[in-house]
Amino acid sequence: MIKNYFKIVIRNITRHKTFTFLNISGLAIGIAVASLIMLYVKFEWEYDKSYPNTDSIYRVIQRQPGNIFMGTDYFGVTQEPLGRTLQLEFPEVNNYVTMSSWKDVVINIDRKKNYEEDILYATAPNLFNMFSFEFIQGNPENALSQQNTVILSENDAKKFFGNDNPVGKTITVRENETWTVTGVFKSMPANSQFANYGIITSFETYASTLNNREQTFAWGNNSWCTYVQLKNGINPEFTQTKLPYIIKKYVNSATGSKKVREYYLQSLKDTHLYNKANFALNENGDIKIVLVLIAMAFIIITIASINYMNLSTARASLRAREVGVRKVIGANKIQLITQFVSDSIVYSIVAGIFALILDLLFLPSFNQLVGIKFSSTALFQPSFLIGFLVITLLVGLLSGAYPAFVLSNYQPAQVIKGDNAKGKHSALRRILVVTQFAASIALIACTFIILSQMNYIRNKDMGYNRENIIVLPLKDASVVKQLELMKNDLNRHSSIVEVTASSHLPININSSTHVKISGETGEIDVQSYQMYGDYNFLPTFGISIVDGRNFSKSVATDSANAVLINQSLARSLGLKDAVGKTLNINGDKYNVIGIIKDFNMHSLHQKILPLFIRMHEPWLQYLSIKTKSQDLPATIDYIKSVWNRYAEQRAFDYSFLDSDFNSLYKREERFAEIVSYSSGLAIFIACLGLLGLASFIVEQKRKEIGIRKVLGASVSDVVGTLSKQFLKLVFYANIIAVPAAYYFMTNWLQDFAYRINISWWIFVLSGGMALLIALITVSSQTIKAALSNPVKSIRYE
Amino acid sequence: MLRTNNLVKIYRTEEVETTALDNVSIEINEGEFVSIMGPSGCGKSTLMNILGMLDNPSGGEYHFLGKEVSKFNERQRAQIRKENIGFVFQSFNLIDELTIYENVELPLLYLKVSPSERKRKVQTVLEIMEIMHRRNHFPQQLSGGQQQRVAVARALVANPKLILADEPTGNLDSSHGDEVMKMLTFLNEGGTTVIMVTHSPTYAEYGNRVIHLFDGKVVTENFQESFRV
Ligand SMILES: Nc1ncnc2c1ncn2[C@@H]1O[C@H](COP(=O)(O)OP(=O)(O)OP(=O)(O)O)[C@@H](O)[C@H]1O
Ligand SMILES: [Mg+2]
Repeated sequence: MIKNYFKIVIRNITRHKTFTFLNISGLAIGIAVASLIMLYVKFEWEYDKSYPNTDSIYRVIQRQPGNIFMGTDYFGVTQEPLGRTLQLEFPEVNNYVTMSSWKDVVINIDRKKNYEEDILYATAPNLFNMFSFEFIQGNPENALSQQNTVILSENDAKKFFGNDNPVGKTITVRENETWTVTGVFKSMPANSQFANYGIITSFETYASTLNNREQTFAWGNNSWCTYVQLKNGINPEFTQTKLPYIIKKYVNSATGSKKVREYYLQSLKDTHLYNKANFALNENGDIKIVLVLIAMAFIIITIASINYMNLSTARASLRAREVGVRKVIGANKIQLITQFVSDSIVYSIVAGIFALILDLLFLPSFNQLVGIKFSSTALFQPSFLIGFLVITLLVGLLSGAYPAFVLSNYQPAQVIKGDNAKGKHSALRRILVVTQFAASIALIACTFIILSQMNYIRNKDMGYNRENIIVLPLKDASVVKQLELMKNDLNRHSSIVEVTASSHLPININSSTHVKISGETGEIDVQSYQMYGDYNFLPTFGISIVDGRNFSKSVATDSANAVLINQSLARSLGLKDAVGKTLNINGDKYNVIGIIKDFNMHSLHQKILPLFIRMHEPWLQYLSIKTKSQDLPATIDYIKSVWNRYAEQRAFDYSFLDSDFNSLYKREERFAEIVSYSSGLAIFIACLGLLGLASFIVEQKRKEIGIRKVLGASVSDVVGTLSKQFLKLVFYANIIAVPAAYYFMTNWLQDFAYRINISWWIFVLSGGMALLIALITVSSQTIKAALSNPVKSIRYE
Repeated sequence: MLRTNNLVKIYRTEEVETTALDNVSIEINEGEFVSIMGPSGCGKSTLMNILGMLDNPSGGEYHFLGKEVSKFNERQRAQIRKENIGFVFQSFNLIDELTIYENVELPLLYLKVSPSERKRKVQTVLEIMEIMHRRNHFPQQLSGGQQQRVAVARALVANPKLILADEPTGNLDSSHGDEVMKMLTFLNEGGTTVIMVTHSPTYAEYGNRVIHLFDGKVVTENFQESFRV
């Protein structure tokens, strides 16, 4: 029996080429999109969940209500003694790890080979027990028990030492420390927060590099990630309710600070996707992106399935006779339903094969879109293939169920007579088409809104200039020592306009402290961003001074006790005439010499906050070089030669400030791309369906068209009559799409401190666009029919 | 074999109510060859559909093989139908996507007959119908007469007790029509009950009696016991 069904499907597939092509391409795109998204969702979903202890591991995060100087008042970093203390105080705390990392550290192997790597340092061996590191060489208990020892991931060991046995060999860190390799561990999967860390050393080794160990490890310093592992079966709420006790007993008493502070235990399972705290060992995922992608997969699959449903039920009239005959001969309803569902499953399986090819072709673009590097072998892993098959079969089932229901309901007595069930299900068909287009139009509208917000962000005057500015990270103190010489050499080049060194770039100032001033009503204390700059900072970035003056070489005291403050800080301090006032910053006195115009120091998600700028060379981290726009390659070559003159041991890295600026909106950019690609695909698939439906209906109306033309209708009359019914559907779709898009986008825009207003023309534009695309699609069929010779079509029946 | 008692069939559309069958009471015995005649629209096909259990009557009784089936649901009807009844239509109603062989095989598939048995049966009927050589062709590649022979082959492949033929010769020229009539007679002689609707008095006379319908009512029944070709 099944064989018999398949014969019919295969013959239908080869006989009705247009129908087959439209259906299969729609379904293939749908399945391809859904399966790639599944790949991504699986990766993100399983992030940091592969450790045997995952369920009992928690990250301690703290909240300092109102302290939004790090973007949010939730902090992913805590104090060094915290983990140890929690284990000491609470019996249910099994284990703790305190850790952090250095980024881009210069590593030398055999004094020759030069790498820049991230290094993780953590409480050993706690780290290895808690996160179940697998040691290939060495053992977790004592691998890092000595100072200046290090373990390497399998990958990094291979990278550094090739096939030699790495244990016992040394690596040179920052040119002056020599660490001995004592172990090799199995590289962590790509969706682990440790994936990027191929070099791990102990907290002790880290501590030995400090010269102010006391202060660094005090309760007043929040710099480390703390993880705790609770005993099995312990409810984290139970421990969490006891955390205020720790604050009272240790933190407040040690620091003397009455700062309001709360600790929370965040399940390891939530730290990647549901993170709300700043600071993490690795870039966090975003549940919103995951959900949006799932929604997109769902929408696109639905649109493709609707195509199948519509085209199949429209064509059902052609198959009605087959159904009638089968029933007469003895088929029952279940058998027929089975037949038509297996029909659609065959279609979806064929589509699935094409989808797999599409997946392979588009994997690189998809990787770029989601920012993860999946290799094509991921597409042949059993877990992926099973998921792929499930999606394919579900699509087949979803698409086939309705047509099967419709077809199997035909009454044989009627169909046999040749009474084909024309137009019977057209009402539902119309509803389905409206649904498809409503989704497509809503997506198009969202795309426009997102793009115009992005455009607004990129073009809004941030209050500083970011064009033609090349940024070099200064990397370490040895380079900073050469700064003056470098600046002099750079300034000699005719294409270099300004050179400045600063602790932060205007696009991201993330250090803050407290500023005090004694006023008439007592002392005012304001939290403010802080940074360090030099004489050329303001001119390089085109930041203007509204009152007072810039740092000046002719005033010797400027480098020691002058401060520039922005308008917001002046306002917060309650100062009308701030220039000349004295501020108390961490116990030292500074003279306000100028007020600078407020500029945005972050993405437009954040409002402008108080800021002050001082001069202090040791803190400088970036060299920003403003150039003339012409002949950039030569200028960069020159900058490189200067860099190599003074900092040969460090790789020459540079970036353009405007692209750094754009990367502030990486998430939004990603979001925008996802939505725009999805809406493109959605409207494309919906149009495939429309094309099929139009060609079918035109075929059915061949005779009517002929008669109309004989009676004197012009081509445009005919096209008009035929197209109108489709355009009406798209119009209805608009009515649904507008409020939906408006709702979602208003929500999305809430996240921006500075945002556009959603204007009506966006909806007119997206609706008009959908209408136009639909018109072109439908016309391609109707015009053909309208142009054909009427005599021919009349003779048909 | 079957007996109806005051069968009524009323079709309702938005505007009109058509009484297609009006108190039809007939009885047909095993082994009979009954022809049904009457003007267009008098209810012949409607009667055939009810007798073949493709449709339920609006009123009256229908006893088939001793069971009152007029209130049966679709599943029950389908069950009796596939075990007992074969159909031949004016428009041959073959499935275009299946070959001749597969079309004929279909009823056996629904009856879950074993593959070897199926093969044997299909080959036998195809040989009887003299279309064995065309078994791998598709319906459109055959002439009308050939297609109708396939339809007859399909109707009888499962060895039904009753064959219902609604104008089986309506779309055929006389030589092809004669062929089909020969087949039906041959089947009837083998013991199968045949009920046939026809507009042709000549073909009607192949039957042992003729039921005349007019406006949904049975008007006369001519017994032609003596007349056989
Ligand atoms: N599905 C239906 N809905 C409404 N009326 C119907 C339907 N089927 C048949 N009729 C009406 O019932 C009456 C009998 O129709 P039927 O098809 O049985 O006639 P017939 O004797 O087979 O005619 P013909 O010789 O033309 O095939 C006709 O008046 C027809 O219009
Ligand atoms: Mg009829």
